[in-house]
Amino acid sequence: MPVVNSPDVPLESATYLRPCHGDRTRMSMAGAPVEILDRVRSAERRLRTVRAIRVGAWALCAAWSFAIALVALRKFHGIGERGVRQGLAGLAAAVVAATLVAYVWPVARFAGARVLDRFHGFHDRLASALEFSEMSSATRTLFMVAAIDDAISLARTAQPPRAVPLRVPRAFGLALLLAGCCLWLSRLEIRERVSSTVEPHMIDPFELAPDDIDEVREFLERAKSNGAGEEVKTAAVEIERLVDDIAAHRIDRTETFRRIEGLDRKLSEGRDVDPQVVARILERIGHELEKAELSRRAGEALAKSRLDEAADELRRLSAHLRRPSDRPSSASIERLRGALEKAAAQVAQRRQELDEQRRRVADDLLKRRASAADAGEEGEHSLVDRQQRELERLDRDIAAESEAERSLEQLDRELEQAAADLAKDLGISADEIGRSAEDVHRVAGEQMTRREKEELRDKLRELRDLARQQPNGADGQRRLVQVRQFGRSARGESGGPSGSDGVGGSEGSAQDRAMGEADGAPGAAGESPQRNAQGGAEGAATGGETWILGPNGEKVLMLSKGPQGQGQSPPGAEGESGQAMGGRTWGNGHDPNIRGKATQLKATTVDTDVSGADTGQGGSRRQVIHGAAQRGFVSRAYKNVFREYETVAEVSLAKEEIPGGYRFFVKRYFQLIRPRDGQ
Amino acid sequence: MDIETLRTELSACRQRIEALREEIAKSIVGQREIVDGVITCMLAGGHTLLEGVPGLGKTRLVRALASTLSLSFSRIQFTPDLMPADILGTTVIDDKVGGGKSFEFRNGPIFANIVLADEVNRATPKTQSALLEAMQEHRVTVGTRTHVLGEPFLVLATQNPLEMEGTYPLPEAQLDRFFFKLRVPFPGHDDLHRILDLTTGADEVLLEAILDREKICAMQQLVRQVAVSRAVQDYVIRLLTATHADGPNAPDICKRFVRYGSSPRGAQAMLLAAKIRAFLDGRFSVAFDDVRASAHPALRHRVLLNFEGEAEGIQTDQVITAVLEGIADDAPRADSRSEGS
Repeated sequence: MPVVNSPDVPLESATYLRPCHGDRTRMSMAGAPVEILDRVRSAERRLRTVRAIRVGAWALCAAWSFAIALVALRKFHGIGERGVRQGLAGLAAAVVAATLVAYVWPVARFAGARVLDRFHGFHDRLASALEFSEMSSATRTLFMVAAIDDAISLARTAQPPRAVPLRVPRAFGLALLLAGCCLWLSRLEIRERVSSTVEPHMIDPFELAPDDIDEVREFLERAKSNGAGEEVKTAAVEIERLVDDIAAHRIDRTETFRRIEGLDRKLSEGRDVDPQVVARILERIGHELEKAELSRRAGEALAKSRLDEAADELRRLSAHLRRPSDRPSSASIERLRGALEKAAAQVAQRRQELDEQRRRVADDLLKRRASAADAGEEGEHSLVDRQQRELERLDRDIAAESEAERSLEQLDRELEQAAADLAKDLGISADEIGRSAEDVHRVAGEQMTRREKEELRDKLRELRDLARQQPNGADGQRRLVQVRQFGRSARGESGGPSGSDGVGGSEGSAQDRAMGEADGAPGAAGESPQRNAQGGAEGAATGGETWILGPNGEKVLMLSKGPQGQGQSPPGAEGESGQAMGGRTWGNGHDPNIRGKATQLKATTVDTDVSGADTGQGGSRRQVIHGAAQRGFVSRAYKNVFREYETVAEVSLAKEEIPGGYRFFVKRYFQLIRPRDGQ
Repeated sequence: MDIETLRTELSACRQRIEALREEIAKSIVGQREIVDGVITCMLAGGHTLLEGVPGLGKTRLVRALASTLSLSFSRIQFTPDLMPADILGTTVIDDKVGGGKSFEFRNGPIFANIVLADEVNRATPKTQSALLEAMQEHRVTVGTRTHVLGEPFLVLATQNPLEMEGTYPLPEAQLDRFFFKLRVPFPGHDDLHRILDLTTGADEVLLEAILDREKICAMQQLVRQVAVSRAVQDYVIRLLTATHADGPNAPDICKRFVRYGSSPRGAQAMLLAAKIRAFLDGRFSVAFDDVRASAHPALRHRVLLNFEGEAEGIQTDQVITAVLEGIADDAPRADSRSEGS
């Protein structure tokens, strides 16, 4: 049988062949039989669809997995809401893109034909026929043509939907499961456990000795019960609250200072007028009113700063002037008018005097400055400095006078008007004097409130000084223990271990440390030569010195005392003696510049260590007080003894015999030894 | 020839082959695959190596085939002392009728259309090699003269896989010249009944000749024209290269146990056998299944195992199965993951 190379049937003229355009597969199907091609294309579309569904399902699984991760991150605050939304949108886009790509991506060559062949058992006749149809007719054998013809007949029976069924892939189940998980997670409410390990706000509480707290509370009780105004009561309540907080260890040192500062600022509001200046002006008005017979009593009361009494007298004078039956004589009225006029002019007159004095001092200062600049002498410079300070003081006085003048402006006007009206009509003048009485009463009330507020401010200042002196931490605790011990000793509660009235032994040591805290002054005494000598002696006894923050923020060197504790009283005693040097007695002090200038020491001076002789029959005054404080006062009521000593101390303080840096310690000392209830 | 004529011819050929099967089936019970394999070899013009234990009907099958074909048949019992001349023939001094003597070549048993080389592995390699030229080139050279064998020329050799003592395994070149190597299986229970009925009865089976030389040659020509798509042919090549240990798609078993893969004759045998299968199935083109069906008989004797493979008792059929499983035919499956993308 010959080999058949050229088919008898011309394939080009066959009706079942036609060019194929726009085929999306890679195979070239030009001339492919339509019957085959339709089925094959349908199968290929379904193949791509199946692939797209499958890829989409897996992409959906992956997307849901990522979505679960995103939602979980969102729930646990890994990312924000916006990030989650963007992520989910991106995942959705990725799923769509993957599905589209899977559909569009071309399938293998003759894939549709092969899947039909496989499903229908065509033994690759469709695929082979498509391949044979691509060949040119010259190379196409009879068997190939027969194969194509055979395939065409088979293609009519081909069923692409059955060959390539569109089934829901198993991955869809997984995707649904993941979707359910994601939805469940998104609805899951993650309750944040409020951290139970929130650390309590730890503060280093500021501590004060119970004695100090009691003392402040007692003062505040007194301040509230003395008929104080509402403003003072309110301030007292706030201070009391502050003290309660300190006692309950609710606030630290910084908060304590802050609140003290706030209270002080509140109490300082409206206190521009110096009450002493007002009292001085009222005193001068009083002196003028004393000169008239009718207003003498009122003038005396004003001059002695008995403002309530002065107000009553002025009211009585007003009533007297209104009574026609008891009309005063013309001369009396004239004198009263003159007194009122002069009284009205007092405020302005005082101001003019101050201005004049200031002008004088300023001129003098200018001259001295000029001469000091020419001469360059040290003495001139000191005079210039002194006058400069004088000038500054005058400025302060003028300012205070101005404030006081404004405060008394109403009274001034009333007095002036009364004087003017007195000539015309006694009734009108009586009204004016009556109003003046009310003004005086008002000033009296203000003075009272001011005084109470000043007392509160003083107490606050003491409290602040106490806070400054009270260190933090272990030192503060040790200090508190010492203060308590000293307080008990001062009240005679413990009596000390030895029970002796001496100042030695361990008792003395403990006490003197407390004293050192209370006094602290001798350390500062080292500034003067004399005190240096004493400080040296004490230094030998104690050997300890500490810089502390003193009142008004001054830095003070505190020396702790030795067993003898001799450094306590000498500074005060020396100061007192120094005051007495120019008095009636000979004094026992000496030149504070005994060693000469720092650069020109007097060669004749010799350092001498002076100490009191302990005869056992009573030592210095300080020792007496100290010993009495330790023993307790058994022969007299401690309250009386304390009042006696405190009065002496207050007088010294008032006379400014005690240097400013030591006043706190004096006050502190008396606070500590003050009598308690039942003493 | 037009398509209809071709169809008619094809149909007639199929009928003849079917008649041949039926006729053989009168003598051979069962063994349908073996019979088809032998017929395939006949249509392909190739030689067949039948391997099986004694008594499975190998020789009987060949005799039956020779009886159903109007072809000359010779049987050679291979023994260790068999010489090449015993196969090919020899030159003898012949006394002429008119006087005188002359050298005359006496054809050996190889000069037949169907040659049964029974127990071919019992002969020495020297004797076995005498078949090489005849099997490949269908001619015999003795001395200076070449003798062309008549067509069709089919060698059907048998060998016993169990008795290895005193045998000489066929050399690779010899094996490669066999179109198919068919392993004759042990018959089933029913087949044994029929075999007993057939062979122990008084009736003697007489087979009729179904095909003659011309028809066989025509069919041999016709089956070679069966169309093969490039994809199928590519598949054949990929299968062939996969049998090599260093082939691009070789499975692991190949890489481990194969010393030499199949020669190109293996691909030729696979494809030609696939064509015959398609032809006998009434198709005009070869399918992947046809190739797969012919892979084992066409390749099993062409794949040579290494020492490890022999030691492990690996069969070449295992290797070929692994190759068939490892090489995709590019046909997409609608419900499979690999859709040939």
